[in-house]
Amino acid sequence: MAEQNEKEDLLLGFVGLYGTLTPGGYIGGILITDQFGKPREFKCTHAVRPTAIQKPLYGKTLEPYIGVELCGTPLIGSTTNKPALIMVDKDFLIDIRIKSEYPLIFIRRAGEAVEVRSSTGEDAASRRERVDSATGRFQPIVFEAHPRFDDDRLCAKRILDEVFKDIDPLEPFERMGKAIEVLARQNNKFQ
Amino acid sequence: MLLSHLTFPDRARLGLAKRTFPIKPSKFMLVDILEIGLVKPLINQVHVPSITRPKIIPDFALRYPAKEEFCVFPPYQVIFACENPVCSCKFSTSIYKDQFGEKVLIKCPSCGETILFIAGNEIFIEDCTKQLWGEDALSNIENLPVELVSPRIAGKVYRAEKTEEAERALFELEKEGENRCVHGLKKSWCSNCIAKKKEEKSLKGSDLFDLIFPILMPPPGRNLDSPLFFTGEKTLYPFQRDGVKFLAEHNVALLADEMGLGKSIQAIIAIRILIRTGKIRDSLIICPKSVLGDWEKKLWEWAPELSVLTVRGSPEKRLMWWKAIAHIYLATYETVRQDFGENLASNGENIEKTSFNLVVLDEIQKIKNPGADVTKTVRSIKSDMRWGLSGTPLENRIEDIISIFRYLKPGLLRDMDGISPSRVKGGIAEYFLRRRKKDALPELPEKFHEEKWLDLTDTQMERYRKAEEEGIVDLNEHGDSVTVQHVLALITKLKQICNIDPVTRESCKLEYIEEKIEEICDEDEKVLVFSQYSEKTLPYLQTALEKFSPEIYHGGLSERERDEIVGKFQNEETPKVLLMSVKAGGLGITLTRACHVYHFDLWWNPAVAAQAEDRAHRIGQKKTVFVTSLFTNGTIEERIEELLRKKRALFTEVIDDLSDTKLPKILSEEDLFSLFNLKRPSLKSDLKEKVGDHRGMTLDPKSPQEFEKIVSQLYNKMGYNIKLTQQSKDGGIDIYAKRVSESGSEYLAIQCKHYPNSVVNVEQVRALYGVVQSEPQLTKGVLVTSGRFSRECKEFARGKRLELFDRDYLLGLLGKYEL
Repeated sequence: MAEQNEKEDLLLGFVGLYGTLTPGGYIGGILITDQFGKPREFKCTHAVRPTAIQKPLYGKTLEPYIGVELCGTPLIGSTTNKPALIMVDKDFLIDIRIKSEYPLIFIRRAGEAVEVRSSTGEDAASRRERVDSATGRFQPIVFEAHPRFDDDRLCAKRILDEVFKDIDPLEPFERMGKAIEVLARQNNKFQ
Repeated sequence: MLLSHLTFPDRARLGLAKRTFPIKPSKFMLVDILEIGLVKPLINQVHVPSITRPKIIPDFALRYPAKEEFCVFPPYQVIFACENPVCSCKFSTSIYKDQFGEKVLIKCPSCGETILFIAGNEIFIEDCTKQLWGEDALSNIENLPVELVSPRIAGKVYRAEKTEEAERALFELEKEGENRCVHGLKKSWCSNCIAKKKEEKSLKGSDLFDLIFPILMPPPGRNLDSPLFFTGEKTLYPFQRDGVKFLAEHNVALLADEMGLGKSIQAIIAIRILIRTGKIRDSLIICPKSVLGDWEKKLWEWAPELSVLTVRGSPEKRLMWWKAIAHIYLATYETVRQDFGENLASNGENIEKTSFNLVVLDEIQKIKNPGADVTKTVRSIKSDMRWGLSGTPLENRIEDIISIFRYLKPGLLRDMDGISPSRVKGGIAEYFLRRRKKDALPELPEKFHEEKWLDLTDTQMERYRKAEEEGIVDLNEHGDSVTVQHVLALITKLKQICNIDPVTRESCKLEYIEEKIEEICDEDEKVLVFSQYSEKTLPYLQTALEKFSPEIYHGGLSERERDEIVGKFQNEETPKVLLMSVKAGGLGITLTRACHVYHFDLWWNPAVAAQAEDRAHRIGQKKTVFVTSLFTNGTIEERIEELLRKKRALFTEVIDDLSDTKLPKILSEEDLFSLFNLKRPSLKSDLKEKVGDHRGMTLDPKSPQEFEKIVSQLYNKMGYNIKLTQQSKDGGIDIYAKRVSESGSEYLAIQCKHYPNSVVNVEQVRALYGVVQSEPQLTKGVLVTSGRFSRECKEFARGKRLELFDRDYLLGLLGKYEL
């Protein structure tokens, strides 16, 4: 029973950055689930819509700035549940870790090419780790932690080994995308 | 010609003007180099349109010093920013050379704040061109945000206990200093205030983040038995999974499984999948009133994460419900008819929400009549997907299916397709799924049918014969004017005597079932007894069977009372016997605790009886179900049963695929007349001629009393029993008319207005409506006039329990009934 309670308390966070329904905007979202993927908390930002001047001024730093500074970090700060591990599906979001107290990793499907845009890009390849689903239900994933937080790797490995048999850690990002799409259809603050 | 004699444009054309260089951003000077050294250089200036003034963004120019900046000579123009933080306006003023090094007091033109300024050469920029004085030098500074600002964050914590805590907190707000409510109590103590607050809260419905909760749940996947999908031990039967798949994959679908196979559960799971995968956002389920509670319960059990709004209560409350956010709106056909019917009449002013992603019609045969208000209203609701659920989509005629598909998929079938059942079957095949219990659930216990033929008691028989003889004499006396309504009224009277002698209360059927129920109760089993006469038979049975503590379930009970009775019967030891109106208890509800069913009398349509007995014979039933239909020998019951038996034999296999009943058309008018060896009188075919005879002749010379008499005769001809009210103090009603038909009893309140060549206005219709509203037993009110109705009258009556007969319509009826 105690073990079950402990399992129930193992919370996972998923932080994503999504394009708005009308092109040119961004919405950040965080979903906190239990280890079986059931939602415990969902928060998302209103749409951030950079102007025509802001886009060239920020250049390549635009998405990382919005994703990390404007959305990711405040979203994590706004949650009431405390996740044991936060996962992001975009490499540049890994910098959220700098201002976050929770272990954080960037995950992607094994074999997928990725364009490195984060500040961790230089030796990222050496820090990537592959995880296979113990039940074989899901395709393997690759993850990497922020170079300044090497302990996150060990923590993430332990948690992923535990949960990857029940849930696909990349799937909740799809849910968030759908949910944000529904929100956008109902309320123009998310458009 | 000297070059110097040429104008500058000419020299430019000849290519002699070669170089240009800017002297200021807005000016260019062109120098004619050929002339250098030859004569005194001639300098030409060409005015170039000035470049648009740049907009300086404060994040670049950032903060303005209090006194500064662009200065031109002479005099020097200095721009100041007011030091008063409230004002902060910018203004320019002139500084002359002799003021350099002096202390100058500058006054803000807006707020009068004084700024001390000491001018020094180093902060001035000399401008060589006077043209740049004034406005051009004073750049307009605007704010353009460069920095992206953090967006607002919205969201929700979904832990159940958190919600409960929040709800508790709602009512434990204050302890000290709390305002007292209007009832003189502390707000947190006053049950009235708490109830009001709760209601207000519930009326708000769900919020946007409740709406997306199912989408945030893990995807259901293909395995519908996944523990992630269902809570507890709930699973679907394999045939139900097929049904769910069928529904989820079709925008148009008619699920016509035999009763008791869980059509509503399949629909709920299919809706759940569509919502959780984000394919639909909302749906409307319309069901008969008797199963509203059952739907609520099943939705809670099978789709707990979906927010369900049951739309009921007063019109004002319902208006609020329709505005609230939910995944599923649950309403009865009557509610939809009233709310959306009025909405149609008011061009959508009442209810904003007139479209849903999905509309599910339970017992879709309710909209088989294309002329009925409910059919028109349901058809007016827009939806991307439409599903129908019914165990008996075809109750009587193949046209029922055509009408149903006219809603589900307009244009698929035409009226003329009715002549070819196979064409109908082929047309709907893609959208139609029907499974039978014997195929889908071979493990479901069997259902045994038994007919019990009883002899009336002597007193009953005597009463029966007398009533029949008098009835036939009466029918014959009507001659050619006899209608099918007169026949139906006699049949009803005779069937009620077959049930119970109204005078002595003797009943052979009662004697029989009393004995049987005793045996059943001894074996700790439960019984359902169905009758179509909820007023004449069921109350008497309740008294007679008192020792078994029976409960009555009929259409007059509120939803809560119905749910309580069903819950008690299913979960508690008593009652052992449930007496049910076959119409009210025939749909949707589950009564699997009973394994014995008695039909005290049978409805005209065997499908209705089958619906009723399948309350017990459905999923969850573990015992064999015994169904006994009670008939009396040598009576009208025997003759009806004989007729139905013959009809069943003619039923084709094609129709059988679509319905539980084997009856193409229940009983025709000829059949009903033949029960008493009477022939149906032929109607005059040329009604128009008859109508012409009456037009303008019959009505105009009559007094109001004579007009009432004509109307009462007309209703009598139409098969109604008539009761004329007093001439004065009639309570706004001139005639009460009642008749029993195949589809139930009808009770009308008729008001006559003899206004030849005049118009009835809306006040008179309102008055009649007031009477109809105050007497719930009335089916509707009828206002008959020898004149016309105003437009307001017609608009007022639309969608209400009112019918208006104007002069033309009345003349038509008089012609039809040969009065």
